Amino acid sequence: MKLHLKVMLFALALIGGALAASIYFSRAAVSEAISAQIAEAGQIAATGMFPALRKALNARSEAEGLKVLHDFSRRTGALYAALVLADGRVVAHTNVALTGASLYDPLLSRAVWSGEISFLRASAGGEGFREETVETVIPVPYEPAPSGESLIFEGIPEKDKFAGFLRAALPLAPAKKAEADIGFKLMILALAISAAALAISALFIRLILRQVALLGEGMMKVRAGDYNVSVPVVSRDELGEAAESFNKLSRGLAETTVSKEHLDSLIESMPDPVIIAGQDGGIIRANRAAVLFSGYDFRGPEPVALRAMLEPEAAGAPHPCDLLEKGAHIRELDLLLVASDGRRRPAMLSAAPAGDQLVVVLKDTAQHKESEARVARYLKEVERVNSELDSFAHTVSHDLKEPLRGIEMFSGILISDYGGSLDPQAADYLSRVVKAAGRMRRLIDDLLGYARVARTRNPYEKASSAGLAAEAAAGLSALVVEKGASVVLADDLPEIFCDPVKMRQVFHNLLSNALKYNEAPKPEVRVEAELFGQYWKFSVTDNGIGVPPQYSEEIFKMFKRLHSRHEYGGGTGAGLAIAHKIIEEHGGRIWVDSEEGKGSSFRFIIPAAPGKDREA
Amino acid sequence: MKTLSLSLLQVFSWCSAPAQAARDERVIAVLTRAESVYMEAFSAFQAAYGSEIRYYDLSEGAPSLPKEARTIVTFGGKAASFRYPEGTKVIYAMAPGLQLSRTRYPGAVKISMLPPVDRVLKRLRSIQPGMRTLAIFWTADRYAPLVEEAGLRGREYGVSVYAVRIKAPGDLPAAIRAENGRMDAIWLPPDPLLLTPSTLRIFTSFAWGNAVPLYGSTRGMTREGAAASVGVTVKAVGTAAAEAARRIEAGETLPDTIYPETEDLTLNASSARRCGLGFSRELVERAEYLFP
Repeated sequence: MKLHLKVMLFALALIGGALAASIYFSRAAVSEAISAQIAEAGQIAATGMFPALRKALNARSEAEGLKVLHDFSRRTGALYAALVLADGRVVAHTNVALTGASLYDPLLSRAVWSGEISFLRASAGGEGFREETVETVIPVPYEPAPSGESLIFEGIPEKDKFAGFLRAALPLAPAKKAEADIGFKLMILALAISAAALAISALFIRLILRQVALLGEGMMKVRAGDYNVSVPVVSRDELGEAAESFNKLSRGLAETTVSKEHLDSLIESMPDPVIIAGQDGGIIRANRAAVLFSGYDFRGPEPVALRAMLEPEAAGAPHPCDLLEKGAHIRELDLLLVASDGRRRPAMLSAAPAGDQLVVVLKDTAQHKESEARVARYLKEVERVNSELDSFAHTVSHDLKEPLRGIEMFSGILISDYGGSLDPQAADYLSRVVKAAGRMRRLIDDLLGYARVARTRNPYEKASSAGLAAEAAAGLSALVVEKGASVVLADDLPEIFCDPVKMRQVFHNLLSNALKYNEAPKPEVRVEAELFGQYWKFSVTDNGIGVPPQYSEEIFKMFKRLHSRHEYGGGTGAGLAIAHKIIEEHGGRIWVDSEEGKGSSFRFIIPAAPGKDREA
Repeated sequence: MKTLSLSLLQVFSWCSAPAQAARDERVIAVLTRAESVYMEAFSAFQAAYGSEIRYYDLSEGAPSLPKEARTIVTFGGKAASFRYPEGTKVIYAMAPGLQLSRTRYPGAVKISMLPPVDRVLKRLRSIQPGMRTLAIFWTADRYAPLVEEAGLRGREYGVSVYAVRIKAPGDLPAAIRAENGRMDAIWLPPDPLLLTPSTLRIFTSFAWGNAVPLYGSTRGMTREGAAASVGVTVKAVGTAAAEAARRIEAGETLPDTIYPETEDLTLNASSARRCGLGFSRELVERAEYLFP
């Protein structure tokens, strides 16, 4: 209920109460005054009859009494009249049936004790006929001036003694109209005063509540998100102070708070559907993306139910709204959105309660899923092609080795058995054939090795990197001796989870390169490791020829060589490519830090805590 | 009402005209006073009788009656008790009990001012169907037969009628008190010895204060406070007197008392209400007069 209504009702109740009390008491006063007037008129009528009344009372004569009572009734129109003694005994009564009875009651008692006329409103008559009267008891005094004889023999009568009382029911009907007229006029007057008071109250309330109304309007604006509101201060009282405080508050809000419009525009500009639902699950607000995504028009009179819009992705799974009703925060839950046309669209829901509302963000996963499926198809295709390539490389390499082996073998036989008989030119050619065949074999072996990396799946296990590096160094002991090199393995090389065969291959290839591409008089190679986040970082550092920076990535490609095949041992350029492939297979990365002529540091990282899938 | 007014004017013009010598004066009228109810009764008589009748106003002194007058119709007590020549046939209107001597006036006929008692009781019963006991208060000796007859006829209507004789007005309050609670209603005959303004007020006050309906026998009593009365109208009396005069002139011998054919039912609604009595619409429509 509005404040002005409450205040008006309060004023109305007060004025109504005052009006009712005023009318009641005014009418009571008028009634009392008219009753008194009637009673006094009766007393005046009786005064002239006092001698006769006294006589009848003194003689206890009913006949005498009746005469004077009838006369009194005739003059005053009394419904009945009676002569009673102080003890209530009826000497005479116009209703003769009551003569001799007792009519002692509080009214008579009052007259007896006060010695004054007493009266009250009553009604007289029998069944079917009641008439309002003024029941009056008029004291009938003793003879006011006792005769000399009475004075001599009886003395002066006591002041409060009476010969008896005239009791009568004086009719009110003649005065009733006057009473009603006065009552009506008083009521009209009271009503007029009340109406004026009400009008003044209404005006006063309007004046007082204007400030409240302005404050209310300001609050509505703030509620609507417009924080930069200033309410006119129209009064210099507490309400005016409240308005000033409100203005300060709104200014503060405007300066410190993001306005609702801004928030709305943010929500509206979100590319993903954003929905805000009430406690009952009815959608209060949705952005344009939600409208486009669902096809619903959320501005209708009846709110769309969130529950009707969402369905679990899998049959039998709990409804997303059941989770939301429990106040749970949901992150990236796959589900189906039931669009307005009944189509089910895959979506990903994230939701969180915000006060008594629920903020829901949907993501259209149809495209995402399609992309995923496409990627999966591509991957499968790539895997298939890779597999075929590996198989092809292996097959080709293996098949090529057979005729090559024949060429190499028979070329060797020719040189060894017929070398002396051959023309030197022919011998030279044959020697070149042998060398070319050998080189081709190495190329094929390296190609096979590279292919084997992908084809071979050895089980992962915990292995000592120091052990693997030491085994690799041992495999190169001849070269180490030949070069007069030293290979130093750090003491703190860790235990790692890996394919030990392949990892040993990595160490072998890196150590081999470090020794081969080294022109230092005393080649030095150092293998170290350190924890690098969640990875182990290994370094194979040498004092070799180094790698020009522009080739720091090229060198990891297959058969990439930076020198002629006659230099540095005539390698095929497959070692780093194989190492690169093995490290990538272990979820790591390999690179080189080098300065030409000053040596290189080949570094690789592999996870310190391997994935469970590999562990399994 | 208009017709009645015209006829009254006509009669008045006849009456105010000087008596004519040529007029048939075998029938004359004597009025206690030539005014009020006496004149009203005479007017009705004249209207019903037809031919012009000369009247004499007793209040102007003893009249000199024509010698040929044989039938004298009187209206009022004084007129009835006036001494007329012996052998004259006097028709007079009187309350029950008063009777002219037939020795002096052989063939004298009384027009009763009260309906037959059985018709009175019947009417009272129709006004107050629950009435079981009816008290008749009376004083004058002449009402003894009436009271006795009422006691007898009351049984026919299922009403126990008993009489309370008041020997002196001073005895009335005590007598009423003595009967209080015993009677369902009071009926007062037109007893001039009992009824005074004071006693009538005693009766009405008692009736109103104790819800005991009081019934009278004249319209005047009803006006003064009785709930209802069953009597005869002055007009009915005049009409009955005219009929009696015609029959006497025709040589018929009539009974001592003749009752008017219709009763006069008068109601006082205010008094009835005070006694707790209600009048039905049918009763009100049947009443000749209603005091509100």
